[in-house]
Order: sequence, then structure tokens, then C-alpha cells
Amino acid sequence: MTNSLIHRFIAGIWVRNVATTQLLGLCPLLAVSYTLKNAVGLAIASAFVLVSSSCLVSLLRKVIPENIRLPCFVLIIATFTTIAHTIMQAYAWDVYQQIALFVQIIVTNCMILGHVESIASRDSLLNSVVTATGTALGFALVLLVLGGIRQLLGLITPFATQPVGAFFIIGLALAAINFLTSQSPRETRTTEQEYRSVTN
Amino acid sequence: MKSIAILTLFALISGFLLASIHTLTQERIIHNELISETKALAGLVDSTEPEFLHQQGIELVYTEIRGYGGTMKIVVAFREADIHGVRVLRHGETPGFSDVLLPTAWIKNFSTLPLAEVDAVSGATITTNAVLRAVKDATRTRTTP
Repeated sequence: MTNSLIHRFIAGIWVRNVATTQLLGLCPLLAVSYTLKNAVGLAIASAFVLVSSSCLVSLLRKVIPENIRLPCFVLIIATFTTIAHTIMQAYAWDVYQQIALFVQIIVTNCMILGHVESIASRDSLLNSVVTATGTALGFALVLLVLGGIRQLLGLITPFATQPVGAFFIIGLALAAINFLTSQSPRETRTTEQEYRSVTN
Repeated sequence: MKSIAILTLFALISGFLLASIHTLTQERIIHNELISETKALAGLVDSTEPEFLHQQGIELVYTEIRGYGGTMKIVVAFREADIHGVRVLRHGETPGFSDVLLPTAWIKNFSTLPLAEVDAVSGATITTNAVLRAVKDATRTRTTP
């Protein structure tokens, strides 16, 4: 039991990282990650929305009727996004001014709806919260790495008036990650299978 | 019937929650907005005290106008008959495209050129046209009270 939980947690960060293996949520990720500060802001906001909506949906999964589950999920996600948005406005004004738009569109981030629909609405509270935390950390990791690299690039690139390097860096990162995972195919497959057996 | 009731209940709870958080944070948000408005005006006027402005012969006109991404709050500073400068206090324009609104970018044209010679910027047409319209409206309402 605990073993599979740890597996899920790590899978969310590495093997099934939303940004690098499923390529979900890339729009805010690429748009915001030009400084480390913005990256941290978006990472915290996304993590907050993802974990709290997973938690709530998992608690309410027996109350929500099957036929209106999507409106309910969207309502819950939108509520948490607005909460994050308002709190940022009040307590992180500097970051808010930079990334306001991208905090609002967390609502349409398929990473979150996908997670809520496929895991939180079918699984126990503990399972879905652990998986959500792993997924959120994975997303945060990509954001921070990208934010750090791009902030450095912005400093050393001459004539750069706009943030640079989003597509190149994510492309190179994806290539590197695919190369690394293809080096150890068996390990990946077992984790993948275990994950499936847990989800099904 | 049951689904309607549940969805309504959810919406009510969510609305109540958001309203209470809004009330709790309202004060701080207004405070933050004020600080950044004063900061935005820093290069334009040294102080927003009415007395100081009167002494300098400056009049500030605040207007709001719809841009590409929601309402923009714009302040036009007049010195006697001329436009002293224009600043955007709050906007929801797309990042990148909104760079024309930075004090050192396109918007400084209002301080240096006659109003008739300030043109919209292609690529940010809606944003710059909205600012132009706001400034023209402000000028008109000021000269014909």
C-alpha cells in the first residue's frame, strides 16, 4: 500500500510528469517561465488548485452524480483558481502583475481537469492527494528548471528585449528526457504497469 | 431534479466562499493598487497631492476604457492646454503586446508629439487605439465642459 503510494508520488514527478511526458499545461508553463520568481508563483498557484480540487472532488465523489460531474469539477476548479487569484492579488502583488492572466487560465489547464476526472473522482482521498502532490511537484520542477535556465539566458543574450528560449529549451529537455528513459526501458515499463494496476 | 439541486448547492457554496474571501482581501488589494498607481505616476508627476498639482498647473484626468483584455485605467496629465503625459495604471492586455504601454515605450509619444501625430501601433492595434480614444475623449471633455 505505502509502496504503491510512493510509486505514484515519484511517477508524478518523473516517469509520468505532466509537462514532459503528457505535454499538458504547456501554455502557461512556457509563457510564464522567463524568470524564476514568476515560475515559483505559477508553480504554487497550480499546486494549490490541483491538490485542493483533487482533495475536494475525492471527498465528494459519491455525492456528485455521474451525469453532471464535469460541470461540478469545473466549478470546483474555478472556485479554487479564483481563490488563488484573489490571494495573490492581496499578498503577492508583484508576481500577480506579471502572471495574472496565466493564473486565471489555470482553470482551463487540462492537467488539472484530467487529474480530477481520471484519478480524484475514482480514488480514495489519500491516493488522489498523494498523486496530485506528485503531479504538482513534477509540474513545479519543470517550471523552475525552465525559469532558471531562461532567466540566465535572458541575462547573457545580447539585444533580447523579450523573454527568450522557451521552445528550444523545452524541446532540448524533452529530447534529453526521452533519451534517458529510452536507456532504461524495462524500469519505465514496470513503473508504468504498476501505475496502471493501481489506477484500474 | 437531483442534479439541479446539487449543482445549485455547489454554486451557492462556491459563491459564498469567494464572496467572503473577496471581502477579507479587499482592503489589501485596494492598498496594493494604490501603491502601484503612485509608482506608475512617478516619472510623470512628483506627487499626486492636489495642492502640488495646482502649483505646477497640472491636471490629472482619470478614465477607464475597454482594451483587448478588459478595462484599462488610464490617467492623462494636462499642463495648461497641452498633454503633459499619459500613463496606464491598470490593464489586462496580453503580455508582450502590452509592452507599448510601458512609460519608456510608445506611450511616451503623448508627451513629445502633438496628439494628432500619435498613431496606433500595428500588432497592438486594439490596445493602442483604445489608449488613443481615451486620451482624445479626455481632451474633449476637458475643453468643452
